[in-house]
Amino acid sequence: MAGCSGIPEDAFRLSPSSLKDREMQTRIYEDVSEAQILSTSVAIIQDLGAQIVESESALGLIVGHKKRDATSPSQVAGAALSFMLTGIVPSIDKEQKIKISLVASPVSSVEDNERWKVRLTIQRLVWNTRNQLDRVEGVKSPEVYQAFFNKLDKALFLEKQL
Amino acid sequence: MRAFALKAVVGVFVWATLSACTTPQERIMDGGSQVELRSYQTRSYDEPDKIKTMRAVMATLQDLGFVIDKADDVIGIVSATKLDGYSLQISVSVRIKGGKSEVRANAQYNLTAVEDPQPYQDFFAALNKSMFLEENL
Repeated sequence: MAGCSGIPEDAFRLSPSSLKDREMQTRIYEDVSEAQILSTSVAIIQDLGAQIVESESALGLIVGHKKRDATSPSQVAGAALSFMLTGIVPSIDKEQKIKISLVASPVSSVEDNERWKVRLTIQRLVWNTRNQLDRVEGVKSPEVYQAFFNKLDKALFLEKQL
Repeated sequence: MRAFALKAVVGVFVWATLSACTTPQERIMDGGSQVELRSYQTRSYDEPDKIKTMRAVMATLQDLGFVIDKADDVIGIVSATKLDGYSLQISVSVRIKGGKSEVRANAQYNLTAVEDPQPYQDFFAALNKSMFLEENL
């Protein structure tokens, strides 16, 4: 029975894609300190134009938010076509808030502090042209995570050379 | 037709009056049976290190599809949100009591507090695995 709150049954269960998601969202870094990883990540999140809204160095957490336009040309074209056919203007995506959260943690044992696991997770909240919150979702595109970690790889490599 | 509309309006009015046991103001202090709820929401682990427990909580939440919003190691609190066509928020507190970690979770699904035991059992089942790995590696 789901109960009165109507919470989906699988909300607190591992999804079939959870292992794949973890792999996509995680990188392991060696011979750098946690502080170096966190400060470099802050710089990259700032490069992406996001505001840092939370940081907790003892737990290796950095959180950034940004608001951006969410208009997509294909949706605009679809809406125009729909208006021509039906005379009704459908609502389309207008604005999005992007939440970026990064957690660095030691790999396995505490003594082995030279290896760090960095996991990045991103979510989107999308508002439509009627200013309604239209969609809330986790970002699952591998390209997005790949692009972030490419930047982090390069920046940490340079950091190690200094 | 008019009589039907009138009946419907009266019906809605009577329903609203009778069911309005909770005003929006009263919802500030609402909540179920505190003792029972606390027992569903709480688990104790043989881990005396608060930071280790908190890191395991964060890793578990990330595996479950949550994004960590806030964390504070002094107070021992982690807040996270899952967005998957719905909004599910969770706060997890970690306290060290008698050399053990006491973990309490409370969740909110859209506009409702989660008070069923099952979601908490699922959460702690996932956390158990992560705590076990943490202890045995």
